[in-house]
Amino acid sequence: MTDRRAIFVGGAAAAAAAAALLTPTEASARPLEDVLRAGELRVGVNPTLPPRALFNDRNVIDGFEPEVAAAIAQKMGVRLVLQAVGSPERIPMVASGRIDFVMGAMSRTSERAKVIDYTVPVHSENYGIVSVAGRGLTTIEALNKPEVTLAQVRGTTAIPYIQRAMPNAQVLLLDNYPDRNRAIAQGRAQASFDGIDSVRFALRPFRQVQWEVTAVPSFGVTYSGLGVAKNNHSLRLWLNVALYELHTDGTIERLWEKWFDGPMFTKVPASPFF
Amino acid sequence: MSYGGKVDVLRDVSLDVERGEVVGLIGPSGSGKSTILRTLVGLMKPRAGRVSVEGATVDYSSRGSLRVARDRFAIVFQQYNLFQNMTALRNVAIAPTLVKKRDRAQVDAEARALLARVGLAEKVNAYPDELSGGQQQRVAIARALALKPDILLLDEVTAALDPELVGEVLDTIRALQRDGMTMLIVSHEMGFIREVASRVAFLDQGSVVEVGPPAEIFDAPKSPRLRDFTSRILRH
Amino acid sequence: MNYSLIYSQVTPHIPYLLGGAVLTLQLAVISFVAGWAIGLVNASVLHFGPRPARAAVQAYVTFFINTPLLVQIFFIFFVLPDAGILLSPYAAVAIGMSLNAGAYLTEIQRAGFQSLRREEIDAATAMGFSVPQMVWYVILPHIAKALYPPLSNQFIIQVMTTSIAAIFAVEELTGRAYNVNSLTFRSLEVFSITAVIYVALTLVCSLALALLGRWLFRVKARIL
Repeated sequence: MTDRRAIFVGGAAAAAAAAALLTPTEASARPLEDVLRAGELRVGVNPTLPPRALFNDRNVIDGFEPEVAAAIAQKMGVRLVLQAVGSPERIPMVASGRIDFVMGAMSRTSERAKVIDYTVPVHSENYGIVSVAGRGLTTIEALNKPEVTLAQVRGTTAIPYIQRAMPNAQVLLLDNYPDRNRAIAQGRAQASFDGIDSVRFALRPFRQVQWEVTAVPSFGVTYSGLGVAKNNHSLRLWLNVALYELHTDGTIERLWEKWFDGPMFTKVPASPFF
Repeated sequence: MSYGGKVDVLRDVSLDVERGEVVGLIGPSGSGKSTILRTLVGLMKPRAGRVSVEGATVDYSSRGSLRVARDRFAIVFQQYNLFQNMTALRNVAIAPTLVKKRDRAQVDAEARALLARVGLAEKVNAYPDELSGGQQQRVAIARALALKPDILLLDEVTAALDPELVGEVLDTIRALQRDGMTMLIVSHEMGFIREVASRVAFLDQGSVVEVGPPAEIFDAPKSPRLRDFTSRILRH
Repeated sequence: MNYSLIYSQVTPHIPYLLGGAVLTLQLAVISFVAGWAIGLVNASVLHFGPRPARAAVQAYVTFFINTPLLVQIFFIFFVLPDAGILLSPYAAVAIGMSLNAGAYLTEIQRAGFQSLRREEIDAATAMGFSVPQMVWYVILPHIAKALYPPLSNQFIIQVMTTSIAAIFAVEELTGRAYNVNSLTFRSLEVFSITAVIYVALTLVCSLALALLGRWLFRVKARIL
């Protein structure tokens, strides 16, 4: 019994600790001048989303986003510190100032924008259908059937779209893209409706499967910016200027092509107004 | 009944018990008295020898054939060995329902009657840890009787009891004797053996040394070992 | 610039989260009961069985205790399909958790077999109980009583462990929390509510287990 009470106490303590964590009264996001004074820019990236970010052969975080972050840090004149973040902790980490901004599957939605501020877009996200050739699953109509199971990665932006546009399809939510691809390859699911920007990279380990990737431009495009803590205007406004320069001098497109094996499906126009 | 064999613990044990007879087994500690009883119910496997009941030989070679032995014998242990998780009633009723597949209601009625017979009508729903040692031992006797054995084996049934509780258990056994129950009793209660047993067997070092009526065994022992044993016992 | 907690974006999702809690409880109960049955059979084999059977049980226990549950379920979920066995996510997780719990519950119950009262076994043997009868009527109640605290702890552990199911497409509490989190980005709010649901779940389970133990096995456990 003592043991079980220890669990209650532990559980209650964990809840209390969580609640304490939830109100980050002391730690808070750093404005631009604090970052400059510290001489260190802290950026959160999600290394489970290659090639946006990944662990390279030397087990160091690398990829499109770390390189963009490095270019930003260089413009700022500070040192870059990369922090690997996952889906549940990334927002609290920004809010508490542990990281200055977060990258990685940060597609803008009005719901998310209630919690976090976005810079101007860094890149577009383009949607489409990933399936195996010969299944004839190349249209939204073909997917919207109860006998179709869509393998999706938990926590990605396409899921609300699917619920809205393909209510009849079954959805299998997996942890990461390799698992999703494996599920389709094994026949556990028939297709996936998701961002297709990184699909060439993601499907590489499954060469034995005859993949079929169909873009669905009618579905619209979403844009991913940098996620900055709510009301950290000084940092966000400076980042907008830096991103404008990185877009106009071609850095972002160059890094994109380097990591994604091809150009961005939808170009991000560099607007001087923001 | 005869038992003879060459084993480490027991050898040259030959004993006949008549229906309705009470035979006492006495002897120093380690002489093999309890081993005989444990062997009869199949808790120990004899390497050689023969046990027969009413002309039929009991086969101890396998679990299945042992069932026959268990139809014939029921044992009451020194430590009562009640199932701690069951009430007195369930302790008594479980084997007949489970092993002999008899009707539950009928067995329960019999079990209540048996518990009443050992003076525990009030305690049918008590758990062992709620009963005194003497009461637990009487439940154990009722449990053995519920199996309707031909021969009841009593293994030092009063040895673990506080002295003031011995009487109630002995009274129960006396009543069984009056009812004509065939019993094989291992005990250190020499006065009691002398009173209830029609014959007494003296064991020493795994062998039956002497068998005879109590008067003969206790008052006129023939063998030196028995003489030595009784003189030590009587000195107490 | 401090983060302010706003629960209103998350509260509409609470029924959805509670639906996940039901699934969590279901998985915990299924895997505990199945694991307990596996553990009981295994512990019986270890105690009464022949040497090859004991070695097989020992190999099973060693394998499942020394590999992570995640890897075990991954194997069932992603490797078995290549051998033609395609289990639903729920079945794969339930089977994986059961096999894993079975190993731990074998160890726990083996301790129970070792603490058996020899006298009760003798009595049952002398009265002609078969091994399964002895296990069910004599040994199991003893184990349930003597090992009630570690067994109920194992159940609480099962409740917590179900969160692994989210990785394999089972929409239990943690999986649903992730979904709501990705929708709203209200991480602190979502996971604090989720933590409270888990605490409530384990409190309710512990209370239920204590009452069950009291009524079924006369375990004299204090309730809370």
